[in-house]
Amino acid sequence: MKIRERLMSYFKNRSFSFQRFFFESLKTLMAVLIAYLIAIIIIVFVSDNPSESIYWFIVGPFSNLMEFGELIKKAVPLMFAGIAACVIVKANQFNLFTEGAFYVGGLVAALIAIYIKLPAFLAVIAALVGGGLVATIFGYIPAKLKSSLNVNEFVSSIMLNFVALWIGVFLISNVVIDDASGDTATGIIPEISKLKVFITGTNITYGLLIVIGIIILVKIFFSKTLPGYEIKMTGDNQHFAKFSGINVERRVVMAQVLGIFIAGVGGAAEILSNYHRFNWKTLPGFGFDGFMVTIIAKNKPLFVPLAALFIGYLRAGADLMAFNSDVAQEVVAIIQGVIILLIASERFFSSSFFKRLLDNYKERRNHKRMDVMKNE
Amino acid sequence: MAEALIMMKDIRKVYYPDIVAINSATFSLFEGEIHAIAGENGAGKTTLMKILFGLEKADKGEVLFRGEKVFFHSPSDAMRKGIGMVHQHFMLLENMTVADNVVLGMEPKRKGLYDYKRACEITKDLGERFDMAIDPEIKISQLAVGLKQKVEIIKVLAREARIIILDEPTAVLTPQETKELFHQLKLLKKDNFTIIIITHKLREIKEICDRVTIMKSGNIEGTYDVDKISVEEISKKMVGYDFVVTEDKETLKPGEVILEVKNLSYERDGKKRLDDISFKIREKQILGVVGVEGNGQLELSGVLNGVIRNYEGDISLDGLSLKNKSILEIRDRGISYIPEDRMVDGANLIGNIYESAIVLKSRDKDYRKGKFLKKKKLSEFTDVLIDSYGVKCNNKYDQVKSLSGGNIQKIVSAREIVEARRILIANQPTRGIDIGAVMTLHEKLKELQSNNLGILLISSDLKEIYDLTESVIVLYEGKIVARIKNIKDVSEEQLGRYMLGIEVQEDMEASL
Amino acid sequence: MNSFWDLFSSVNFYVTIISLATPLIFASMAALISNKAGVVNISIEGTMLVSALVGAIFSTLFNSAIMGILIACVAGILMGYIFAFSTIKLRTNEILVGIALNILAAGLVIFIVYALTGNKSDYSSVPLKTISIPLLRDIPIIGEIFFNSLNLLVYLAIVIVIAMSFFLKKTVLGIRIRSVGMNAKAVDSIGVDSEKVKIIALLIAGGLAGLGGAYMSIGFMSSFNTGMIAGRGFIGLAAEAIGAGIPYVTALFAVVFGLVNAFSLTAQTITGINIPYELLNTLPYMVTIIGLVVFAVIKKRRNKNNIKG
Repeated sequence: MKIRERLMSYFKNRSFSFQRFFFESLKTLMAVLIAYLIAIIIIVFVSDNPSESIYWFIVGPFSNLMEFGELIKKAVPLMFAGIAACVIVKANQFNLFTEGAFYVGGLVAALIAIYIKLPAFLAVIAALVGGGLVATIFGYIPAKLKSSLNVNEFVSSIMLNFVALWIGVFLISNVVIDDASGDTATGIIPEISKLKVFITGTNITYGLLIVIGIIILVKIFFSKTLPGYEIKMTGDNQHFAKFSGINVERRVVMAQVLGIFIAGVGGAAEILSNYHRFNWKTLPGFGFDGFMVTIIAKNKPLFVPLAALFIGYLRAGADLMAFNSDVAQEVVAIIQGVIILLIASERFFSSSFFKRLLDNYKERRNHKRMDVMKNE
Repeated sequence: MAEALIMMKDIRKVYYPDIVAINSATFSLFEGEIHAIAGENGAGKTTLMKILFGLEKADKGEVLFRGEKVFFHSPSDAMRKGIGMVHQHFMLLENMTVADNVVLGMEPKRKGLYDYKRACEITKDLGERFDMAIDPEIKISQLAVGLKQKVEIIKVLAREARIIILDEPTAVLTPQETKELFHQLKLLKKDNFTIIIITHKLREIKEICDRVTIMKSGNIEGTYDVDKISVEEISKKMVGYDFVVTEDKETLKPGEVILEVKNLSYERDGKKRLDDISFKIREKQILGVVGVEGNGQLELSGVLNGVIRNYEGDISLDGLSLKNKSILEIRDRGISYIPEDRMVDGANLIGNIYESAIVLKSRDKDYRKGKFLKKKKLSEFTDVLIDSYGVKCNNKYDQVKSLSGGNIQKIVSAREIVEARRILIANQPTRGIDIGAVMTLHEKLKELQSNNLGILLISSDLKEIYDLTESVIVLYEGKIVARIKNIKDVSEEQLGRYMLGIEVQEDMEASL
Repeated sequence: MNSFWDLFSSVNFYVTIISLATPLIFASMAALISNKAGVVNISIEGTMLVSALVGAIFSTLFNSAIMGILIACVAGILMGYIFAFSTIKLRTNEILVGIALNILAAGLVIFIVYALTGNKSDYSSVPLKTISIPLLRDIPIIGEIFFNSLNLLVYLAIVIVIAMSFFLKKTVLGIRIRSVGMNAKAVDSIGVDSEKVKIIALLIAGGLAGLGGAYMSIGFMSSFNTGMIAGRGFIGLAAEAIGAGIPYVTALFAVVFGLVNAFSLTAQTITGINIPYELLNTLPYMVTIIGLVVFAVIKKRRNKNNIKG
């Protein structure tokens, strides 16, 4: 009885409108279907054995526990990046240093793990937090430039991504390079600092638990705390926020700093989970992915994991397809692009879109009727 | 006179969801006349003209052009029939030249290229023909308001309009500019142009118009030949209502001075928006500020709220200056504020009711534990607001956007009234909302008053002023032109004369 | 090379500057015309990438660099149309569309390269030949820099800057594009369809970005590489912002960024100066950020003065 009440009050509290929910879901579904259709058509064209390619692409990730684990593993950095972007977009900002933050966070975490000797638990925490903090120092620059000088945070953060990348590449190829690796890479990350696998038979590490924890914290931040509430109001309507006495500039910076920090931790977790050495010589792309994830999640923290799992599923399937057939996994880029374009659009499949369709239909019917009457 | 040039029959317009802009209006226009449409703010004048110009669609009724039924789906349809409109807010490209603006959309070409020289010539010719000489090569941003308006008129003329609608053309003009405008309008009339002026300035109607149509709350009160109706009669029909003496106002004795405004002046775009304004608000006092819109009310409330900071003079609350204080600091001192634009400044339309309701309360230490909001307490607070103001909604998580204007206003005012500790500034608190909501709000304002607060009520609704206030100041072009100690001593007609700048009070009592 | 003097006195250095400035000029002109129509177009980066590949593919297919360039330009226009359709017809947030198209482009090119060649990064093209102009090339220094080692697209970029300035000032369409960017409502109020004007501007922007992309794979290099645009579309946006929307000034800043880029590429060859190339690589991006900041400070000062005056 209590559960039922709670459930009811949940829906009631969020002014659950069945119609809105229905149309939103339908829209997402339509977007996904259209995107898949396009992808399948492309696969049919390029593949010598399309049915097998499509099989691996769609069913592959569920074929066994290991593959399903790959799906989750791919989704974890997307969750980090997605929740990071979610925080930033809540304030209606587009600071894309989440991308650079992944790189910086990963590198710094690796360096802390290698060069600072700490006891087991502390070693992991220090690497994660250190990665996040150093990334935040960088990410603060575009945020502050936006709030005090109105420098477009989008362009400045993208430029900063490249700066961070090349500083990192410089470090791993000159300063912290380990010649034994036979690669431009750091030394080996000690086992003690690594995030361990916590479901045997898969590659899923504690990174998953960390990101789920962060997502819950973000959810609480926005629904239960004053700064979170103020960030949301600032993003929704800056005039209203300013008029009510909210310090808009401070909230704009805060959202970006928080988001960048999360992305930095995400980069650290990625390196500590899946790499022996830090050897990234290009930007990992997760930062941009994060914005994509949060668009699909409608910028709601609790939907971020779902959206990330979906993208993870696409990529895991694409990897399997590439491994088992002759189609490159980058076909997912097309699916992703189409889905975002359609989901983010206001007019595609909105309830008013249906209403217009209906109106058009009625109008045409009336015209027809009039024509008939005239003829008579 | 013969057949009407334009006939609008039984027009009705309702804005979503339930705001009746025009109830039922029938309006006729004869060729070659200057026709005034007079009425208070919100009477439906502009909406009626927007329907004629194809900017709005009427829900009901029809438009006849020379006896023939027409449908204007967009301004271009109206323009094709020779109708042009000069909007109150100019539609000009600030960084382009006068000539560019005049020919936009009908650019002259030479060898496939834009013929700027020809554009200048067109502009110059039109300007000379109608005595509106203006340098075609000057940028709009460098022009004074009066000249910008001329550009708009030339723009309309260049499109060969024969019927020109001017929306509040003199609202932004100085007396000299107004004189010039009238001279040009007379020239146009001589050329058999037909002109419609939307206005509420009676003197102007008398000066240049042939006929006047008076509108009041969405209805047409009547159309009259200007020389057969007196200014007083127009004024009465425009603002008048049956003066019902409701229950006697409780006469509360004002207490200590709370807010003091001293020699406040503010200038923007080279025009004095506020000119040496001084007044005091005491405890238990509702001070009314009346005036035709655009005479300094917006600026006054902006200064008091902290949005405008570069003013001259001083404002003090309980003896402490508010100069250079931020919005937050001013609010923390106990001033609350019901904004004029509730949709932009007042509420977060895409959020839910709860979010807009708690924006001030959320900072209250009793309602949070450190940085954490006490959601239960805030929810209860929101529920109480909704209940006590009778906000019509399913629950507090409804989207604000889905509510009617009156209900949004209830939420905004409720939030601000609850938070007011010393002063409440209410800027047009009941504009455009239904009578029930008006009653609720008036109750609440009276309650505040008896709780020792001071209220500054900026309103263009005279009934509201008579119902709520005792002392009133009248603003005209940023100046105080009358200080009225007891509003009951002053007739509505008299008040109207002050508001419209026909009369300035002699020996103003400085005590207010 | 022994010193900075050697660097700055070498003809090659200046040729490199011009070569590296060219794609930035194309990108910045694409940003400029979008911005004039009131649209922030961040899809230029992805458009350049796709066009670079399309150009390379069709140049080899037709064994003609010119055909490659033309079809790359068409591909750019197509990308411009997708951007315009999404933002204007489907009312999608400009930034989101930009992000989506950039993600799409990044994956799409790898997918296509792999489908065609089996490798995931490179696709060779038929490069554009450098033009050597008799007589003019014999002018000392200037002749060598400007008339002996550049290709058609470089000259086209210069022509486009001049043409853009002319187009925006002297043609009806150019004036309407500017008008829409300033105040779309005012344009609609006199019966001109502002959406249509915007779409045209975005198609032009797509075409320009397409040429920029083609230059990278056909003019500058003789192959396509998936990482070859490397933020040049975004630097073009920055150049436009700093150039305050004036074509010549914007082009000037594109050249400045080209110079920094050329310097970062060649400075490591100077003996005695031991700056690692990785750090030199950060220079163009750092200079862009600094440029944006300086521009913002100047703008803020000017606004303050305006309020006072």
